[in-house]
Amino acid sequence: MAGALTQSNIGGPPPDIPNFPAGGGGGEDRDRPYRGGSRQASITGIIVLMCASTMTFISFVSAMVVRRGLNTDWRHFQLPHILWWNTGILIVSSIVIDCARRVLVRNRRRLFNWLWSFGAVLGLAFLAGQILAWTQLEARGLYVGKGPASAFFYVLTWSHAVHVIGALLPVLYIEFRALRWELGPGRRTLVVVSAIFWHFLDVIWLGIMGLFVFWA
Amino acid sequence: MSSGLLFFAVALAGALLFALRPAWFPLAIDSAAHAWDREFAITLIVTGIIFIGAHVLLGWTVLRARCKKSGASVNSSLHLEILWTSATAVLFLGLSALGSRGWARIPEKTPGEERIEVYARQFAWHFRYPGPDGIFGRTDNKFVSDSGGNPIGLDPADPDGHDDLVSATLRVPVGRNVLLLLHSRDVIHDFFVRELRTKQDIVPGMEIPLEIRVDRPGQYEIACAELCGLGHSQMHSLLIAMPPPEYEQWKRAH
Amino acid sequence: METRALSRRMRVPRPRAIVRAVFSTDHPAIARQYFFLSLAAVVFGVLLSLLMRFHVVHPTAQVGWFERLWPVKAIGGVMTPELYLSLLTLHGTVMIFFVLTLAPVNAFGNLVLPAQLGAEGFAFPRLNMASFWITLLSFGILIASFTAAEGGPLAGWTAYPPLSAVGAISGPGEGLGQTLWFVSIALFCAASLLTSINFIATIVDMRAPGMMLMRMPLTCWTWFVTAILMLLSFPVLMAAVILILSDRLGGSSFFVPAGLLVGDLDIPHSGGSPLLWQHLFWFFGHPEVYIAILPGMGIVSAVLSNFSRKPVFSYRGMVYASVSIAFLGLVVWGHHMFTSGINPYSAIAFSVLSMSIGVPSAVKTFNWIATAWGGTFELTTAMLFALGFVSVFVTGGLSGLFLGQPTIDAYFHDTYFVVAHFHLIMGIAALFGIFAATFYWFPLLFSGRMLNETLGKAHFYLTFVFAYATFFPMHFAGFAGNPRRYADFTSFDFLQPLLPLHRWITHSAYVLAAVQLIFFWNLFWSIRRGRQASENPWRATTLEWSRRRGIVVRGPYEYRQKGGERDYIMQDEPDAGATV
Repeated sequence: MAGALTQSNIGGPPPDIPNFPAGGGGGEDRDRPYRGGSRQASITGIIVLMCASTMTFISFVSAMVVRRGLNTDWRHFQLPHILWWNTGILIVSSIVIDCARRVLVRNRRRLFNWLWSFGAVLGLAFLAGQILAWTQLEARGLYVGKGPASAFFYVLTWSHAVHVIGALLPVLYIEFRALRWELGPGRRTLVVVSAIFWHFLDVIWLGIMGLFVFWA
Repeated sequence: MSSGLLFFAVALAGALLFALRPAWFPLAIDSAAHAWDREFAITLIVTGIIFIGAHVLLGWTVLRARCKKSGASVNSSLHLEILWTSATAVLFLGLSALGSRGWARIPEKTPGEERIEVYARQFAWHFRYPGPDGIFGRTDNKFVSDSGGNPIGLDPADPDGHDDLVSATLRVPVGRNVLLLLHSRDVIHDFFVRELRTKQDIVPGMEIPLEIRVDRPGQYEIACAELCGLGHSQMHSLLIAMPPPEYEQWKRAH
Repeated sequence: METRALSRRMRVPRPRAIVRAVFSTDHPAIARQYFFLSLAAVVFGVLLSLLMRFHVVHPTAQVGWFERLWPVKAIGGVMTPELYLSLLTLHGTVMIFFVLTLAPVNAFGNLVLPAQLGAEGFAFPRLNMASFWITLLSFGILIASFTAAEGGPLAGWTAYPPLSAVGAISGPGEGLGQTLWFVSIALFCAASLLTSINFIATIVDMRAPGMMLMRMPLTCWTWFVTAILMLLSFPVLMAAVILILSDRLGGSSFFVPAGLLVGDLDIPHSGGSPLLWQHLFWFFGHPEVYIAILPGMGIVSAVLSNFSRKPVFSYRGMVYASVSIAFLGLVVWGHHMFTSGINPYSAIAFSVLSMSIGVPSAVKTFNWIATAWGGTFELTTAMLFALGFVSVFVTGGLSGLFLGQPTIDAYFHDTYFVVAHFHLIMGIAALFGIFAATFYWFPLLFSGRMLNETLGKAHFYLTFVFAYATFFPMHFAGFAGNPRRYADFTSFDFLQPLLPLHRWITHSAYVLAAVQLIFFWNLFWSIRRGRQASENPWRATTLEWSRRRGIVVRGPYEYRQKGGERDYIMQDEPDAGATV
């Protein structure tokens, strides 16, 4: 069975270790170094992270609502067409990454590698598309200092892009490990957690698009 | 032993010092300020009782334990919990209800009231009176010249502004409602007169009304109470309350 | 070169010992790192406050080394108002973030939380390590902001725009200094987020078998709700900082309205709202003060129970009270803005909610007193600090009842009355919680040693007396309407009679600071030469003192009143072996 060492379980009571750590700590003296919590803990962790990110985006949106109500200087602007392509790319990448996750559970590692690579490429394409969108907007004279609507657009999309970059780091790390055949059904916590966060970023992006298409 | 007595000492010192409090407060010069003093006194009595009670109890708990008397002790009591939870809820929410009376009144224009504009900036106060025509002239930042004697930027082309009176001190008639219209041209300041027992932040970009009515003639200091930069502690001006005839005379003379 | 097998395929060379020690993922080591960081921060913060107090009573004094340290802002050796204000800003920032958030949560939580839960360690040890180093970087950038060319920012720890948003024109230090300050805060937010993820995942998923939520020690409960508060509030601060940096550097106008004339410069921004910053900031800022005090409350419950040899009175009530305080803490931020120009009706709503927080706080206070009532006391230093906490918490909390009423707050807002309130509650009560924790958990922090009790008691009594002597009189300055954040009192007639009071406060502050040297002496001496502790020196019931690592079979705080050696049962002690 692949993946002998797993992070997916803590079994039974831990071995007896001295209570007063002398200088270092209990982690370093044992054969198996302490690597942290279970898959369940990692899922809890990513849920907590999603709550925090949600709070940030909610803050931006509520600032936007307040700001729009304050003055008459809100100017709608046309979203660059490339944003629709980007939205599509992001949705497809989410689907692909989720398929990859399911496939890994059934230990089809070769297929997983193809799917995950495709998902990673789509993610990078999304980022490139965002950069293109920003350059197009600036060419039209809409930059962050020019009016509240474009300012909020930049802040929201820039924050989202930072989250995407943050999510791409584990995606690429997984890619690296997958290509060395080191992952499997017993070593898939990072894959699960990255997939969950990637879908979350999808939802956030749809929210941002919805906000600017229907309201702002 | 000494720790128990320590808590008694705190209770005593606190009580004594707070009994001296009238010495600290400035005179109240309007009816709102008198109402404030009453509200403060009620809150002080309530909190004072709790303060002294808690410290006496704390001291007694320590002394009792040290004397090794195996007196009654309680590990849990639903009755006690319900009692003190509801008592504090009633007390604190009662205080809140008391304190909210009279707060949510948005100043409206009452006939016969004086309107005076207050201009705050880094780091000085200016006050503008509309003059006999009762109309404030237009202002614009491009006309502002502190050295040239136009600190609030009166538009020289606007006839309504020709009779406006700009003063470095705030003069008000005694016994009449005054509506202050607060403006700031740079950062957040705060208009604070201790004797009125109130203050109001002045937010740039907003015109904020503050209704006052002074009942005693005299000179009272105006301070800025929102950090506004390096000169924050130097923004000094005077609120001068004069009997109405003197006030009208002053306005005519300037 | 040692290798350590990670998988059958990959072998990674093991880092050298020094690297492992410095970049340790071991939670007690990280706890020590945080402990020393907050120790350095508190020393720095206290020195800043002494400089401030000195200036307030000697505004024109010429001090040679001022000029050497600050050649521009203390020209001629006289502290300028802008230097005073930048010291004030740094004092608030360092104390609130790097002392009162770090020590109770990160230092002691890291030390004790997994052990108290019976967990092997934290859920994410590497995240934990990263959190410390990001915090250290944040601290470094904060110091850098202070030493930037035109000096540190002078807008206070609250950094209200437009003062903090329009750049150097609004004051010296408002250029690069203010920008770096915002960057430091953003990094701190990120680090706190990592901490909160770690704490929550560990508490939710890694408790030992049998450790049900309602069997967790109250310290774990308070760390739990504190972590949730951090999760919900720090991202809002992060968002606000991003928006204001965009205003400062990107030309946007989230917080800057039109038509500003600062100095003689027309500010090109338009349409923003300074109040928006205040809402966002205080949405974070109020939960922040509960983050600072809640862990201390948990520690006080544990210590009072342990040294009265009695269970905590109404464990359930304490849990509900902690959760209520945390929840209510999220919806009362408007009480910092009563005079800011918010809608008066919303002010009433905020007022009612703020006064309601007094109810669970009072419940906790009654529970503490009831816990101690009738107990068999062991008046150790930790116990003294816990009792002192109750006293100062009551005193500081009661002044909140004045400030929670909008009409009364209209007088006291931005006066020394508020300064008294928050220093008693945060500066003293929260600090007493930290001292109690230090004395109580010292054996776990530093290889089984104990702090000296005689020095500890002397430190407690002197600190208690001089803390009250320093901060209690500030209420009276508030009664007289003494505004806060004033660099000097020379411009106002009504402030002159208050100078003797301020001199008293300053001198008391000097003594209070000097008294802390007793603690430092005790600390550093005991790390090396402290008495060796037994396995469970305080005869406590919670798992951090247990070697058993078994299943949890009972709640915490099972102390009995029968006296004698074995008057307690530990949480994981099997029933058969217990003697009563």
